[in-house]
Amino acid sequence: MEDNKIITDTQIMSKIKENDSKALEELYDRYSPILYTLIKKIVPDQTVAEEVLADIFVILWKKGKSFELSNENLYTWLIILARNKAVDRKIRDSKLKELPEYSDDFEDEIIIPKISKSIDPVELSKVQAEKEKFEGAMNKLTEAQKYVINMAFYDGKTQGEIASELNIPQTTVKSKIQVALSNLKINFVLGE
Amino acid sequence: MSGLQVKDLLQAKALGCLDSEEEEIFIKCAKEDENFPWKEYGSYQKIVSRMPALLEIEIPDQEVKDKVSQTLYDLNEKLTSEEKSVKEDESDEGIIIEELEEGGDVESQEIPDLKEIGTEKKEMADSISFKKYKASEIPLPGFENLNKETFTKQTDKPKKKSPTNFTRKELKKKPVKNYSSKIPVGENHYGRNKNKLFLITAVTFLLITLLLVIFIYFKFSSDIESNKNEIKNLKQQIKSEVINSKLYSNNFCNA
Repeated sequence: MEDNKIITDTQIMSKIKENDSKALEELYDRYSPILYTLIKKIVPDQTVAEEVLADIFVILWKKGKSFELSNENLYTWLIILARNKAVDRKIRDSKLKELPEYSDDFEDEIIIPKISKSIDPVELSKVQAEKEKFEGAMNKLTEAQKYVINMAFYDGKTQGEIASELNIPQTTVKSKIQVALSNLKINFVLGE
Repeated sequence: MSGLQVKDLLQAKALGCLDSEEEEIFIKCAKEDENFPWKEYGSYQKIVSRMPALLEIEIPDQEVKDKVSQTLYDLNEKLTSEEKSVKEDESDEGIIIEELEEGGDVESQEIPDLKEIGTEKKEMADSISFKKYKASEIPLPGFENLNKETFTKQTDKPKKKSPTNFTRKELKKKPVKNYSSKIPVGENHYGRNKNKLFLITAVTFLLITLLLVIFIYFKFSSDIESNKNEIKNLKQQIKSEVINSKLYSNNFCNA
């Protein structure tokens, strides 16, 4: 844990780019618990969750080098990547919806997130330290707003699917999501 | 799509819940629109990524780590072997190019443009697209169709190193083999023609020699025959002259 505080995500990534497998191991030790927890929330099956977790690190090892991560946010990148990958796997396994064939292009375009370079990087340790602050911001949302956010993020439902499931107009879902996320951001920035 | 509409999609995209049509519009805007609100989008990405921190953390088994490391080890092995095969392919191509360049007078006369391009062998090997110029299309041993245009076209293209070289390698591997396998065939063909020519020349030479010998034989034998006849005539002439002189001397004595 001491080391985790010393070496930043950016330093780890630059080592990974130089094929340093120890750096990858370091990153695994640091991130696997939160990624695994997120993946398991989306795909409850343990074996599938483990496979998805392995896939995340394979993508990171294979393609992480080609991305300019020094200016980006590794934490955000990994979380959204894990979420996208797990949702994709869940939909493919359930066969409820037809998805495009999983190809290299599909992975680059849809699964790997394009993270804005205009934001300051945030590290896992900081996120964990601000957990209560974020929880407070979340609790200020209405139950409906929280419900819609969870359906979208963890269940992998689109706005249209949420609308038909809740039997409400799609425009209502869209505005609910817009307002919910804007409020969450404002609540968090203002803090308690 | 107006800026206002793209802004309406930011939150949904950050949550990953856009419908496919809106997803396409969003991707297009993010790629093409210079005024894309990256900062605002980033702030939503950042806030959404904090959500898993609220979950009860579950640590994966040690087995998962072993599995991940095994998967990565296998991947590395695969990549290394792929890289090796590409290097071998490239060196094969280099040898072929070298052979083409040092192919002697006949070859160098027919492919003068190879040297004019002035690129290094490796660069040349990289630039030749075997996908475009199939081995079967490469004429051997004449190389008549190899011209500057086709090679320049390839060298002018900007070299792009893809992070994953599989496709390139797979594309290269087979045609190179075909290409290299054609060269000895061409050489044999050229050698066979040479042998034929030599054989024809030898037979002609023998025939001419034989005719010459026959001609000389007949010529000499006729000469000998005529000489023999002449000798015979001369002998007879001498004989008759001797007889005549004898007769003459006898008559003289008797008289």
